[in-house]
Amino acid sequence: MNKTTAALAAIILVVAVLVASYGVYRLYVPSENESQGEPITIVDATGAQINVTLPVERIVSLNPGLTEIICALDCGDRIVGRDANSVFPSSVSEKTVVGQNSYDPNLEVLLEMEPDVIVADSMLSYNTEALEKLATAGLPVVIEEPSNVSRVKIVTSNFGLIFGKEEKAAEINDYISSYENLVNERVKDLASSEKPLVYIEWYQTWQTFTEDSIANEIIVNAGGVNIAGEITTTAPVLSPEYVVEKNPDIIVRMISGDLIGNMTGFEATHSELMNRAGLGEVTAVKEGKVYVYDPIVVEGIRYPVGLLYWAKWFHPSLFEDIDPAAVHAELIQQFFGVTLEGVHTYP
Amino acid sequence: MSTATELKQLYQKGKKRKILAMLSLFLALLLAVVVSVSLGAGSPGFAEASKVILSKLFPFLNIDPGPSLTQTIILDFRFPRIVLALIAGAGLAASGATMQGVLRNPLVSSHILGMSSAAGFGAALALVLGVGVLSGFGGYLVIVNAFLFSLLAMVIVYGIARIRGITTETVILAGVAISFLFSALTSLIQYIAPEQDALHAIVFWLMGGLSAATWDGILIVFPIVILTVALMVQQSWNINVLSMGEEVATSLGVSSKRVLTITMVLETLATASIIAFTGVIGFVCLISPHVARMLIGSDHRFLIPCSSLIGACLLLCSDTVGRLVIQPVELPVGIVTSLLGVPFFIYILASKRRQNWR
Amino acid sequence: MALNLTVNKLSFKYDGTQVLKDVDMEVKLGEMLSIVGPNGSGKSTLLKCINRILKTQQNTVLIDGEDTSKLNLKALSRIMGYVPQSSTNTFPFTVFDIVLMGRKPYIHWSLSERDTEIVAEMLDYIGIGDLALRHFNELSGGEQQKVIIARALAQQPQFLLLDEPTSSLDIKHQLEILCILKSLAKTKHCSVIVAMHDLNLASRFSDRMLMLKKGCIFTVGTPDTVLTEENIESVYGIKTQVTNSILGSPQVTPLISEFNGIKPLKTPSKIETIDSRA
Repeated sequence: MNKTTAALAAIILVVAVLVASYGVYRLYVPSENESQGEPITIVDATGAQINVTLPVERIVSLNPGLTEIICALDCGDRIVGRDANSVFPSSVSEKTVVGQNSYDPNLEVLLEMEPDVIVADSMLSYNTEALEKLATAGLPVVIEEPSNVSRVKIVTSNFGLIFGKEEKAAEINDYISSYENLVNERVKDLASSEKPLVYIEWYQTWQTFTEDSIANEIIVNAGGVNIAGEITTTAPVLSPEYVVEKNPDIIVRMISGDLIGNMTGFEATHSELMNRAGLGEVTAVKEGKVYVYDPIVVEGIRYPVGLLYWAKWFHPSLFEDIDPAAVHAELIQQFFGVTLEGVHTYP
Repeated sequence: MSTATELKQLYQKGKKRKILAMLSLFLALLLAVVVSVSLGAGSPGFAEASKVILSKLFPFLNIDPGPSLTQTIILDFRFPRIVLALIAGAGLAASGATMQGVLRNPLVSSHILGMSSAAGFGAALALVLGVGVLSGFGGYLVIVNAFLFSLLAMVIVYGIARIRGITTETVILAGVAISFLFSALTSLIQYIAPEQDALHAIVFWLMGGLSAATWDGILIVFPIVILTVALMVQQSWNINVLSMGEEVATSLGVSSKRVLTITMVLETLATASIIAFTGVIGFVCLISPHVARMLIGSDHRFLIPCSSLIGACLLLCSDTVGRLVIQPVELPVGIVTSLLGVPFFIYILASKRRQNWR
Repeated sequence: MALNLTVNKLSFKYDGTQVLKDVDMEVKLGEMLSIVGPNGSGKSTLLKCINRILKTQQNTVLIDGEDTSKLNLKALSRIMGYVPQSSTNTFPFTVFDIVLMGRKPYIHWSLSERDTEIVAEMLDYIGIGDLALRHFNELSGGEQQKVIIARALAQQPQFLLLDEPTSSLDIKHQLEILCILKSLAKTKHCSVIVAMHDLNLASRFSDRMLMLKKGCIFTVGTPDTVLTEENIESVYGIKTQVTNSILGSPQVTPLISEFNGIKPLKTPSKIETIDSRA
């Protein structure tokens, strides 16, 4: 091999390395953010600061409660992807499903939607791999707890901010506050002896909500006392004899997911409680104060509806003038422009 | 000839000791029942509990049963649960002893033979298909489904085993395979379950528990378990002989295939009907026969009843602890059984007390 | 009381391979018959066929002219006892429990006085009374074999079948067991059919010997007529010298040098150590 060939080979090699390096650079280093919109920072339920670049035109929502808030803010048309359970209002049901729930979205489908922001519930925070991949892709992820009553208004404000719907957000929050205040006004001066004992049951027979739960907060806000309010275990199964000895005045039962929507399911759940062996001793059953509810009425922006229902169950005389079902219909009409359908509580 | 007479007496003495050991176990069990019925998150104690029970057992004595709340707590909550614990513990342990003996394998349990996972799959299927077991009604579909799938597992295991000829190896291998199959199917259901609630219910079911004990359920399980365990005991000699191997069994006039088929049917009926009501409670059927063997040896005439007593005792004690330890919250019995049973079992293994029991 | 066992044109195939072919034999009460032959000649299979552990055609195994395939297993187990080559037990049974299993053909569920009596007698007879409450698995091979023989005797059989009962035992246990068997036969307690490897022991204790070659009977008769140099060479393929032992029975001495036909194993050029491999 003579010198010229060697020199030529060296040059070709250097050029090849340079080209390859550039290719690698183009492939691996994300391109500069080309959009010129202004960034806005919000804090989500996990305490993370999230920078969202405005305007937000494409949203993926992975939780039905969050989907409802987005739609109430008149941004339903901006949703480009959803979880399988986001089916209300009916206009969202034609959007692409990108995951069963927040825990495990299909990242390929999700990225193809080219969202400006992804909103999800806290299940996603357990899927660190997905979070990392979304971060690598440079997508802002907002993790929220729409069923947490103390966050509903914050979520609404934050969404109003990033979607440019601050006025609408204020309107929603005023609406929520008005009913919160109404209930609070009427129950705040009640002596503890006037507050009924409440046993709340969900999922499994004898399984209840305790100290730190959202349901406990609603019971307290509605002027009741949870018989398991001082137990620290999360979502435990209680000893039935404890429940019977506590002798609750009210029994509230969350309906099982598969029975939601039809009257038979509510009736059957109610009659099981009324006839359950041993519960006959309890005041709630003797006086017929056993209520079954669809969890949707205490979640997201429908929270005031649930609060009114519970308050009226706990203190019928104080809330004689209130019709929670009518408030529910009004809320649905006002914020979603549709008529309320289906059964949500029993009796 | 005198030596022979001595030997005979020696054997009779050993037999008496076995019967004595079982009597002591029975007394311990009675004590456990009394303690269990006297303790709970509610206030009724021993005195109240005994009044309620005595007044129900002997109405002619005119004992005052006390307030109706006390009666409810004792008769609707504590007592059915205790009775179910006894039946389930006894039935599972007897099945375990029988199948370990017949299959000549100390690791055999309803888990190994695929019945637990099949029952779990049956229950999961019913829960996902939406039967509202959560609110209690329609719960019988879950029970029936768990029972049927458990039977199905045994039929499949038996069918596979028949292809190669019914031997202990084929039965165990087929069982293990079926067990994995149904576990995978249950995982699949859990993975694609559309409802959070169903998922939650499946997890609860797989943990196993006695909190769903009702008199209705007991009325179904009790006769099945009594009958099948009695028939298992009736097979004792065949099982004894079979434990020496299939060829020897044949030379002693026992058809191993026949015994294997009979005992498999009995075990399946007992176990399936129990776990259909209680969910998966696995450990009892594995450990109880071993404890019993260390106490009274391997003669199945004594081993099967003795295992039953130990199983009943173990399950009742575990459930009582589960009810009490962080009351008013209850722990599922499956968790407590293993937490209590394993150290106890390791202790027995390590102490080698079996050297003293012959 | 059954007297004669007749095997009539018994053939057996296992997975398509002919293991036994047209075996004819007869055993009379009080006789000790040993079955000899090389590995794979069908000794064990023959015993199992006689005992119907392996199923054969009808009318091949007859007891006093009666076809055993028409008897149920339980009835047959009162006539024949079987001692396998080795016995294991997963669970801790005592010696008494194991021998008691020999009473299975006679009991439904509860034991009679007679059952425990017979078990005790058998333990005493075999001389293992002191082991009665020991666990079977803790015993030595020789002791275990005695227990299994006691169990077979507890069946009160007319025919006792044993599959190489002495092949893994020391010389003392070998002799003890063969003496017991011989005595059983001699007192007309039962007939003994025993598969054996050791030609010299077989020759010394048997009344008659049956020599199998590839599943067929090669020859049958008294030890004197069976154990000839020609027969052994033809069946086993080795040269031997047959002499009379000091007790009068034929004694077989193989005539091969230590290195007969075996090439020396190549010595490794250097000794490998773990270090040199690494």
